[in-house]
Amino acid sequence: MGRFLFRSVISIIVTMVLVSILLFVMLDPRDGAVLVKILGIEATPEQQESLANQLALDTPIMTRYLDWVIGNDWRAERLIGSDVVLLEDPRTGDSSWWIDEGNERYIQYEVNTDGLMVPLVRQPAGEYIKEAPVDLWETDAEGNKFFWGLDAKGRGALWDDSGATEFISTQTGWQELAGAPVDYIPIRKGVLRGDAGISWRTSRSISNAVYLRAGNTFKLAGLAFVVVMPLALLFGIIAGINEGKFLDRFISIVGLIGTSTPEFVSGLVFILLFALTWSLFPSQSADLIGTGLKPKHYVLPVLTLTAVELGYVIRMTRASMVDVMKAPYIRTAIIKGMPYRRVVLRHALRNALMAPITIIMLHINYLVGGIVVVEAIFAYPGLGDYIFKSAVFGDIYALAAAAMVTVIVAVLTRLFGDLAYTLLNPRIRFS
Amino acid sequence: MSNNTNDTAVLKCENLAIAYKVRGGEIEAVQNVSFEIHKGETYGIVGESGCGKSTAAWAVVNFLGSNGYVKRGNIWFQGQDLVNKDGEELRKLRGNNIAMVYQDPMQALNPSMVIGDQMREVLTVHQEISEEEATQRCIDMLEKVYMPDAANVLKRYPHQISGGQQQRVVIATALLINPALLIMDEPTTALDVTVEAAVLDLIDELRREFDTAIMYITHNLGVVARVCDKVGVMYAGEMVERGTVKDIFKNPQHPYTQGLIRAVPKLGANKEGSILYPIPGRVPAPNARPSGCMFAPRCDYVTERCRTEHPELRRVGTDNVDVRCHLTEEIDAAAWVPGDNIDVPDLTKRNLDTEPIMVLDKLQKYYDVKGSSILDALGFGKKRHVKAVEGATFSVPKGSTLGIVGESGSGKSTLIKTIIGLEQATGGEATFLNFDVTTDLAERDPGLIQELQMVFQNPDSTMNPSYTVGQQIGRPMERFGTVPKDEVRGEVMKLLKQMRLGENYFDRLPRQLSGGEKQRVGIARALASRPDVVLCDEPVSALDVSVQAAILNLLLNVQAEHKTTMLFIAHDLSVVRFFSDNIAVMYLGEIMEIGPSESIYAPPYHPYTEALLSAVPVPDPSAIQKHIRLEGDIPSAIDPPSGCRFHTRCPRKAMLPNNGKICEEQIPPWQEGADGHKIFCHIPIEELATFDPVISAPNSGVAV
Amino acid sequence: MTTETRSKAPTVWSNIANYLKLVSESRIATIGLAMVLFWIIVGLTSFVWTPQDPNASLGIPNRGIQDGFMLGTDRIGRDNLSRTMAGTQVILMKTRIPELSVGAYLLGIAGISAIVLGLVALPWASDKRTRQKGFIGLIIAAVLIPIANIIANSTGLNDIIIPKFAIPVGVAIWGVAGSLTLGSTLGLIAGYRGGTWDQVIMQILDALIAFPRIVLYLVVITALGQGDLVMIFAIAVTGAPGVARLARSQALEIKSRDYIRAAETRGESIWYIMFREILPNAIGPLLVDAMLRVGYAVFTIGTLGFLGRGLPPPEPDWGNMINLARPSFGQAPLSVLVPAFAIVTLVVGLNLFADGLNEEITRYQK
Repeated sequence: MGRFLFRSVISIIVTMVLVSILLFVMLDPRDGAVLVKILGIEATPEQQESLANQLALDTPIMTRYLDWVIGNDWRAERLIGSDVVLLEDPRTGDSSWWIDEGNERYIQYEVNTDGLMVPLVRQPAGEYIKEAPVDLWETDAEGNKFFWGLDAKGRGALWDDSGATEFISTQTGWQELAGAPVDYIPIRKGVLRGDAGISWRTSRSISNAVYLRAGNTFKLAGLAFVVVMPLALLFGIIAGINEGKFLDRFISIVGLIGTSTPEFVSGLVFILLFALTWSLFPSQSADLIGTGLKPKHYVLPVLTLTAVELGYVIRMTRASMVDVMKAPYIRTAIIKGMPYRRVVLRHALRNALMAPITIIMLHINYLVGGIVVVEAIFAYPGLGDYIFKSAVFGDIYALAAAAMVTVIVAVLTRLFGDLAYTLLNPRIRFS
Repeated sequence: MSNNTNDTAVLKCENLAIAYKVRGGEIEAVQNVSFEIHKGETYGIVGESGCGKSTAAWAVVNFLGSNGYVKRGNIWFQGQDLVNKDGEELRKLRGNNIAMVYQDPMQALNPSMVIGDQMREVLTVHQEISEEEATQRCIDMLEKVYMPDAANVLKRYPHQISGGQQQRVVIATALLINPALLIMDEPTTALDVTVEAAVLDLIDELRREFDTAIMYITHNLGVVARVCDKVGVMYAGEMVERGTVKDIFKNPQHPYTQGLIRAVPKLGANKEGSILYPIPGRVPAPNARPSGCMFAPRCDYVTERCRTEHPELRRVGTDNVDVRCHLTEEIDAAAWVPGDNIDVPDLTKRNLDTEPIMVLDKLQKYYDVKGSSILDALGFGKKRHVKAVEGATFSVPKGSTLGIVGESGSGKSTLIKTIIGLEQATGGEATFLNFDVTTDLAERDPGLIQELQMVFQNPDSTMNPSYTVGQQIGRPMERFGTVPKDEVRGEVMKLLKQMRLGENYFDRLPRQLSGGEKQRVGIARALASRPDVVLCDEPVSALDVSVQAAILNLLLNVQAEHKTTMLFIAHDLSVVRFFSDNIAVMYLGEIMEIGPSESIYAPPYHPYTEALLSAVPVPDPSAIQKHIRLEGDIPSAIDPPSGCRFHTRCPRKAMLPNNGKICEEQIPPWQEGADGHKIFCHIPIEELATFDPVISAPNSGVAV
Repeated sequence: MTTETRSKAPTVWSNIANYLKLVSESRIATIGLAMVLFWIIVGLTSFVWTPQDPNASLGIPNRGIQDGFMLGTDRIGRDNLSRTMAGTQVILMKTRIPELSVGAYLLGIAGISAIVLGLVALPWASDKRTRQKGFIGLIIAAVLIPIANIIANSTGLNDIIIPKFAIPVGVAIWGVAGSLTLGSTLGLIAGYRGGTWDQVIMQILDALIAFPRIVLYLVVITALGQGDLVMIFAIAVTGAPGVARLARSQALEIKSRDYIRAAETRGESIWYIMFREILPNAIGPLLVDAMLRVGYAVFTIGTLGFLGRGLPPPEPDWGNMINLARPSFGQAPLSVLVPAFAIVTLVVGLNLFADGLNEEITRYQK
């Protein structure tokens, strides 16, 4: 048992490392399509280059991977020479990085037209006030002036006296801005410490969004799980002990049709019937992020998920039950004169549940997959919706982070499945 | 044995016919079966596979599956007709009065319920018995079947006890309700010989104590001779002969029974007396049965009448024997000579080379075992090994046969796997014609690989289901280039002919062959590369007796023709006797005794050999066999006993001073007897020589 | 021994005939096959004839059944029936190769060669006798793409454009074939070799299996863009771990058989044992599984189409049709229901076919 747990944990860690590398390498924006997506189709090469610099896309992939996983605040701290902290802006709820100079004094910098640094000192309400410009230039071995600090967006920034420009987004479009840093470090703590950086699509913290949306999704998935599993096991067992009879065929065929009907079809049909025609349940949940979801908002999404998942689990349970009912020890029990009900409940059930339990746990994976579509149909503010929108936009860090969460759910449920199997199966438990 | 035959029979079957519905009709698996079993009587149902023995038993408990039913005839249980009873009544009757034990005890027990629950429910569900009382009765019953630590066993799961103990649990469960009828379907077939012997003793003892009627189904005539009072012989779904065990073994009437007895390996008087004669042909499939006598196509005495007229079961002579044969009175079994259609090996003393072709010196094979702690997972755990083979030393003369005998866990299979290179030896030396054979196949030269080939145990897995017979026999020729490409077909045909298989087998697929035919193809494939040494891994243990003999004789003749050297593995001593030049007896990875085959079957014995010989069921009720039983289970090979590995179970240990302290502390010496006979034991060979022979047949007086 | 008429050695045709006989014995399989065949015929027909031009707005938008438009029109007046018929093409009938440069082709060929070489060399590497050869093969496979990249960039090959064209057999089938090739090879090595090979291969595949399927598709499509070839790649990659698991369990079971021992004691190569001894006996369950996988692929392509991330236009795509018809579902339900019917019946047909065949094969083997 100790060995089993140890191996599982190792395996999960290896899986997560592999998955993160895979995600990162696959999603790596190699041809600048993302830049076009953010800047718009008319962006000039200079603009694209500047943005790539601001997003640190011009650094090697290995560095970016490490930044993403273990963060780069420590790297920034080393370059700047003092601690940096992440502070929330009480006005917007978003967070930004500040240099911590001690005594509750947090600053960012701006370089003015005279080439001097303007410290921006954070006030408790979240805004900052500009202090008098100071000369903080340092000189490197070759005599060039440079300065590492945080810019007004909380990014690690390297200024020199070359007068570089950057392109920033304003309400009217993209603007050129002089006195800009020449290199950037978009600071983050890294996914290991729960910070995946800022979303390109929404310009807000990825982690906060994922956290909120994952909560919503788990509510939905959990509800669907609780509805599907007892039903599926019940029907699967009924079908299994009636193998080949009408009841079995009926359950199997209905289950199969359910499984073969994509969520977007059944979802739309349910909307047409229950929301549009009979007005029983609401079809959209999008406007409810703030006010909270009521039970009625879950009915149609759960129904849709149930329709597609039920058949699959029925199929597994049925197959397992059929196998078990043919086992010699069932024969023994019957010949011992045990009543049929006892044979099924005491002798067959436990053995029959062993095989599907791991598959059911594996299936939570698919449940989460199905939720992507269901959330899209019902405009449900969950993780699937976030994944989908990030994928469409090409917001790779957001997509990767959200995908990592689904993978963690998958490997953990698989672990639970294995544990449950172990507990059900004395042969493994006592070896 | 039983004298209350006048009572109403506990079980009576009359003209029973059982049919299975299949697509496009039905198959009558069993027909014309009649017998009765009385209180305290053990009735053996014997026959080869596919003869409908088990089907008859399932019919008694009304468990024929969804497509089977009793088509004709009656089953009377204590005067009640079982055939027309409805489900619920039957269930009650069955639960209270009929119990069943069948072949694989591991399969028969529910893997996820503790044994206590499985036993107790028999009492609590049917009768008003409290849990405590039920538990006590279970413990009592387990103690009756000599289960050590009975109270504790109730808390365990089936996989936590050994196979022999599992079967004891199944038997104890069956006896809990004190059934009037106990059906046993091959209850010892999956067990080792020494364990089987103990279980058979137990069955016999319980029958006396409980006065139960036992319906005992087996394919093993030796077992019938040991435990049954009466026997019914089944062939192709019919009962062809029935009577008392004594009568039938002494004077079998039906040609099939006679053939069976000739085909069974016996620990008979001498080497020639143990030649086996096969019955040609095979049991017809249920849908291809002849219209006359079922046995006619295979019978030596067949007449036109046999082919057309179906014989009825009739009483013959003054014996209590019924037989289904037209010709019983005309057949004289004693005058039987083997027909032209069967191979009989020539056992005239072959002139063996003394030149050894293979020499093993202290060959050793250990397997690493993985521990289950976290330390082990990190690689810091203590290294442990399964010591599968230890110190194997022998030499095999060219052209001779070495029989290697041992129960499961003896390391016999590992030994030959190591020799052939499926496993890499972990120590010692082994040479074949001065080539090193301690390495595994990947490091061997194709020329060497070609010289060592193997015949496998299981006919159903020896051939690849996707290729024809011709392709599979031809493959080694192509692989080693022993035969030019365009001559492969001719060469395969030649081999087929040698295997007594027609040319039309060339294009057949394995599923079109019977078990015996598959084994023949397996032998042909092994011979195709013209190897010097063929290693046989129990090639006949999965076959019916009548076919076993044919395969063994074929092997012998092929060996004589090709001058092949053979290593032949067997799990008991009865099979290897008549064709082995030398025999090695293995226990827990070590060779206990080795020598010329005759010397193994006569004193001086190694105590383990003696126990093995005493355990083999002898198909002769009149034979007197010494009663030696081994205690406990075979120890784990991870931590084998110190000194002599057999000391934990040795019945002769007490002969040595201090109750055999030396056996526990020191590795025994190799004591040499005559003709290179060697015994691995502390007891002086002179003392071992004073033991009585294990088996003595009163009629011949010749001791083994 | 009975003398039978001489039986013929099995050929490909007799094997197929055998399978067809099995199918005909199962009512479920026959129904399933009929449903699949129906869509194959519809797809073939759509190449030569559809009631209307599937891509032309010829009718009144969002109308129900009307003259000339048997199953109504979509929101820009295209014929639902014709579009649904033509929707079969990209899934089952043809794969569109886009306009690509010779350099891209070179890269593609190098990529496929690298995979094939890798699949050949990996078993070699796992066998003591051929280990060196195997590792050399793996190294060559690893450098093929970089080399092709260098060649493509240093010469003018990137500028020569080959126009788009289509190859036979649809995206779903190519994709499943890909996962079958990839998965069964990996699964056979893992199962037959065991030990470290097993652990490493299965660990990598477990990482892939841990993704919810649709998420992995979205990731692949986000990374590589929409297109038939990308979809094939996505299907192959997402399916391979499942196929590998099945192939592995088959190999584990089959490798304990004596005929494998026999092959080993003949000193056969790992390739021979994997593909000539094990695979022919594992292929039945693998093919049944592959049929189910074609079903999943159809399902998933539909889902992606619905999400707007599926196969590119102009050929109609069932999922996308539903997506487009969604806003006006209330007025013109047929525009949703007709392609939905297509997806459901095709998937159900494939499932029934696979299930029935599976039942028959198990029965046949007993």
